[in-house]
Amino acid sequence: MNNVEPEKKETKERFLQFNLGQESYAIHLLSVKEVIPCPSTTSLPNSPNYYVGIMNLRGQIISIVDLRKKLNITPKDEGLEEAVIIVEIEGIGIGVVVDSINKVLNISHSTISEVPEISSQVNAKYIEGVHKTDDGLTIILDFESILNIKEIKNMQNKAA
Amino acid sequence: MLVTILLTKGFMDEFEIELKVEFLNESEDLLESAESAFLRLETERENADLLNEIFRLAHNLKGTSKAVGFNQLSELTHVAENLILKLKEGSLTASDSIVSTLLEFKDKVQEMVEELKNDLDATFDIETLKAKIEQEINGGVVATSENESTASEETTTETVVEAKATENVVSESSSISQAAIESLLESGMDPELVKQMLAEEDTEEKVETKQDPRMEFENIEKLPEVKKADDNKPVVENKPPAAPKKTVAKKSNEPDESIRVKLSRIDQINNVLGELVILQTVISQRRYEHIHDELANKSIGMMGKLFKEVQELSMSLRMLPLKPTFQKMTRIVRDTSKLLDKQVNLNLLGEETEVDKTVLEKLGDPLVHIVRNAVDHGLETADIRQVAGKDPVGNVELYAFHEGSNLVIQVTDDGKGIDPEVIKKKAIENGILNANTNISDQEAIQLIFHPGLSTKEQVTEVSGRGVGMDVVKTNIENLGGEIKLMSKKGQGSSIKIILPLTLAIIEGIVIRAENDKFVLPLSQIYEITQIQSDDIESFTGVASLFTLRGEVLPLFFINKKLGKKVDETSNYTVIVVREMSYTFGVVVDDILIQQQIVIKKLGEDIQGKKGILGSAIMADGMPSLILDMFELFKDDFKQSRGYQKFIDKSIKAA
Repeated sequence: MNNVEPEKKETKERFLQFNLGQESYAIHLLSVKEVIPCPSTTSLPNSPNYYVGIMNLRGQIISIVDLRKKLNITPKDEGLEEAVIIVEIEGIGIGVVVDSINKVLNISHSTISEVPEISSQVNAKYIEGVHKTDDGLTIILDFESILNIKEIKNMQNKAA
Repeated sequence: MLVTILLTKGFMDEFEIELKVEFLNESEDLLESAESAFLRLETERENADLLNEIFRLAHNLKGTSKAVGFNQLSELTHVAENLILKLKEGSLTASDSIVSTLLEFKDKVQEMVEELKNDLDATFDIETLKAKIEQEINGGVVATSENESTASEETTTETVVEAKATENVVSESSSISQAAIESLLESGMDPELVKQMLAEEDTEEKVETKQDPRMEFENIEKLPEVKKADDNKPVVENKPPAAPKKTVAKKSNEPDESIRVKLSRIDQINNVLGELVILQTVISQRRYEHIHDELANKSIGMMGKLFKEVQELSMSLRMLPLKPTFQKMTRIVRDTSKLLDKQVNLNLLGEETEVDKTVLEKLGDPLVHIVRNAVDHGLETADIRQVAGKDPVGNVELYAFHEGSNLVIQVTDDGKGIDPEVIKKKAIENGILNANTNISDQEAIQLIFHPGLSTKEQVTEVSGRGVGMDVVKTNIENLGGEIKLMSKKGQGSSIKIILPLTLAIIEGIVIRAENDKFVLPLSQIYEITQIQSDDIESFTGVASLFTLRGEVLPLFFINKKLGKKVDETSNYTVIVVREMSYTFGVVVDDILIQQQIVIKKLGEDIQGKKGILGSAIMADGMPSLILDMFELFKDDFKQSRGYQKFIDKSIKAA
């Protein structure tokens, strides 16, 4: 992406990179609260298949969602090195199961292409951008739309 | 004045909106104190302290409402303040009609405050009430000029004097609204800020005020001196300044010792603390084995004690005294007895008893109903009482106390009691009771909780539209409470409400469904029984029915509902759920334990899912779901009802 003119000062943002199946993904580090090893959960009756269950996170009950099932990605190796990322978006805390955590990326905006030009297993509306490096591609995911945060908020407002 | 500036400039900035909203929130407390003070006035007509307090409240309200720009509110309060001033000076005594008018005034202000909360620019019709208050100021009788001429000379002159005084007050408040500045200062606004605003006005607008604004601004800075200055010039404003002085002085002596905290924050604290206590227990259990440092061991022990103490404290943060709710009852009793022309003496006991905020909020309406009933249906009129050899003044007692982990509120009256025969007759008329059924008197009076039974012969303005006690009962039961009624004909009735102290803890039983544990609230469970597979009548795909002591009830399998396997056995454990008119059985795999359950909120994403009340953390640290069986099986129940009736009939026919 060399068509971007050299800016005064490049704004850099930090992302947490993780793996789902064979691909690398990332989310904004600011929405990550913590990363924990896969906890034991209690399943919720009549819930969709990607909904793992609820867990006790230090006294708070949190839902755990399997991102691979939600996005239809074949897991790398069933139950090998799973981790749960606890995210907090608009005040709602949710745990997300991923295959493994990689590292924290420090990316400048200029290296993120907005339109996904590559084929991915993931539905395009869930993708916020793609980060290209020499090593390969990292897909930046939009958790807000994946986890239906807006719908949840709407439902609450209706209920209230 | 501040507001005048802003308004003339034609904008309503955020700061002003904030001020207004803040005022509306604070005024609630103010109104509450006002109501109880007005009511006290009825019995302590000449209590100078009380009158001072009332005057201070009114003055405070007037000043602040004017300061934030609710002109109608301040206008109305201003008139009421004049009336109170008369009482304070002793030129009028608080008659019943004055107290009524004051209460009416309080209601109106409350109504206005509520409306303003929705719409900051709302306008109201205040003229009627204003006229009424003014009429009281003029001695209550003087309504038209014709009446005035018939009134004695003395009163007429008095009226004139009063009118003059009123004028003075008006001019005082409209010209400077020193009160406005004072109240701004009182409400905790930075004096510097006020100064700035006034200075701003100084440079930009010099219209409305007769005095030089800078003068006032100096006044603010040297308030104590102003007082002296006022005393030294008794020219025009002889009375009014006296009050503001007191206001200022009193306020500064009584700093506000409470703060408003969001309930969610308190819940958060409780959450975290609960977890800390658990962690501490884990460490504490292992300390002797694994920690060999004496000081560390000792500290861990100490920490445990402190944690428990803090936890208790934080739990108590949600608790509020019943006093305001009881205070409300004073008003209800007063209004009801006035309306019905009965003499009632209300006795409040245990006002300081504390209860969880959520419980308290939901307690108000049922209690109003019960108290109103006691006065309307329970107590007789004075002459009937005398005939019966009772004191013409009826007694109603509200008594609150703690009993174990419950709050008990007892409403007792010494009225005519409930006549079981009347209830029976009524119940048979309304088709609630079979004429041939023989029931005891105690059972009969419990029928007043049945929907659609009003015992009062005619519908009155106060109560008795056939809905009532059943709603009360449902409300109390929704809070996990119980309601009991005792009554003796001719001697009075007593209603006992038993409520859990907090809604955060419920009594529940833990069941197993396949490999998962679920919690069922004990309050929904009527009984637990075992049935044989032969006892079950099955209608494939629709419902199963079983017979319990001759009653045919629908039977549901909780495992099926939860998407789990149903084991085929010959012996089933059935939980009988009875709620309102719904009764049904639920088959569970196993019942594990009955225990107290701390309800935890579910994550917002799954909150409000049908049939799930919340979750609980089990002893092993794993979360479990608390199920609302009524909600879970409601639809199935309605479906199966037709079959139930059919079977019921065929059994009876056979």
